[in-house]
Amino acid sequence: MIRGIYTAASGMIGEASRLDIIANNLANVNTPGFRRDAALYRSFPDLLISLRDSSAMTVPIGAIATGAYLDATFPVPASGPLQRTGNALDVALLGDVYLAVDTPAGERYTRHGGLKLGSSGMLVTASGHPVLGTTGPIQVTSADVEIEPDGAVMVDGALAGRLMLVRFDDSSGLVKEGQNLLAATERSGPAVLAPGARLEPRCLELSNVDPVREMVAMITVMRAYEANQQALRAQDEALQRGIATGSLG
Amino acid sequence: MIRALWSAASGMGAQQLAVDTISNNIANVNTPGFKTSRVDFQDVFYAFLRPVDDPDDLIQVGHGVVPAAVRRAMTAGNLESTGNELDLAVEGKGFFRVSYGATGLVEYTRSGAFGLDHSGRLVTADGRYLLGAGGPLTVPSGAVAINVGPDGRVTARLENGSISNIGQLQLALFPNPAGLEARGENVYRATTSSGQPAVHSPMTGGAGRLAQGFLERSNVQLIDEIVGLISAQRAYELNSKVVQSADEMLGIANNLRR
Repeated sequence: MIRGIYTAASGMIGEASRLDIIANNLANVNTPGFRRDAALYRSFPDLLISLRDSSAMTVPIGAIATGAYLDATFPVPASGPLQRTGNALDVALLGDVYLAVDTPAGERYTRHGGLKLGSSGMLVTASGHPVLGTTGPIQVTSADVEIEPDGAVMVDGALAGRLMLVRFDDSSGLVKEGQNLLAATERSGPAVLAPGARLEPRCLELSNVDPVREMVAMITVMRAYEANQQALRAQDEALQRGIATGSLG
Repeated sequence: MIRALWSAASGMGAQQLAVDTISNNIANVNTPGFKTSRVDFQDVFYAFLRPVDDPDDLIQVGHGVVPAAVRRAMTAGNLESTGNELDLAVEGKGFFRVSYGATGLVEYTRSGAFGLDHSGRLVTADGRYLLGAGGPLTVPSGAVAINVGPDGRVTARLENGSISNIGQLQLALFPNPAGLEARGENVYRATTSSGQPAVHSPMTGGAGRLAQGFLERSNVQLIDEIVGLISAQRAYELNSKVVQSADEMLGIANNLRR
């Protein structure tokens, strides 16, 4: 009986963290290059319940699990829709490839192709980190910039650098760090150059968050949370009745 | 849960900024030389929660969204023929140089709707002088017509038919025009982000050619703005639903104990 209270509480806690994840997905519904997070839940390990009677014989009744917990989250690498912006410094990456970015914490990766020029004419991301070319950061010295579908950055018609496009063995293992940056982990494996990768110039890849999916998930979360609360309450009431009558069960 | 409330609130704030930016773009749809802006978003800090059984697994929960930058699209607007001899448009990437007084701070504009002041100087609508190679350009009093060549040479035809040379217009080119600081009144100032201007005569150094009798319209694309507005408004609504859900769930938790 008491066990059931904790089971219901674990359900409520789990659903609350799921709402946190949905809230973050929906807050980023208009963030270019954002990948929605998916959550994996797991049941607590099964316990074997046995009947013990006076004959000291234990008769197994069956297995019972006592709740669920959030086990893992991972970014879903599906592509978002493309928006044609007409801006020469916007690029949308096609397929599961990433731009390499130079940050104070080391090399990071991003899907946000809304590039701009930094104070010294360097090609930077929206958050201001230099974008890496195959030979280091790319310097743009004139207002006449064109990015080709193979990642070549042309300034005044001459090659100024080539965007470094990379891929990962398991991109769902990438860690999000905020500012649209992703970091490689042991699970994702190191970044590997993706020589054949293409990009769509003058386009932005929008967030892959699907509002319908998230709204449905949110309703499910709400109702599951409510159901768990009811389960908890029912047990609370049963306990109360048991205490009042002096007998449980 | 409390995270969900704040994440959703950050989403509402961000979409509000997007609506603000879009409404400014739409308000300036008929402002000559106006350049449309767009807000770029980025996700923020992720918290790591340790899984119970496998510390190598990842549980990351984000904290919403923040604006990363408001970016101005420096694409050219359409040229509109006005027939006014003092309306100038730049076909290219150059900016007109203007300032209050002959020695004031030089500012930059794409809006070429000029007029004359009481002493015959070429001025913008708010009284800044249009600067040529030798400072403000002054039209002599007896002028009947003003001609501005595609190369920026400004001449006046006098009553007696003779041609008087007024000056040479010059345009400024920036390495990163999107980094200019908008000051209102259609003018921009140079910043460390825009870089220092290179001053060229029209038709040299990539500054573009001048078109007399034309005005550059704003580069605001109404359809894009309206679609952006719809998207921002719906995203705002979605985030408000999350606030509502988080609130209801907190209410449910509060009702555990009657």
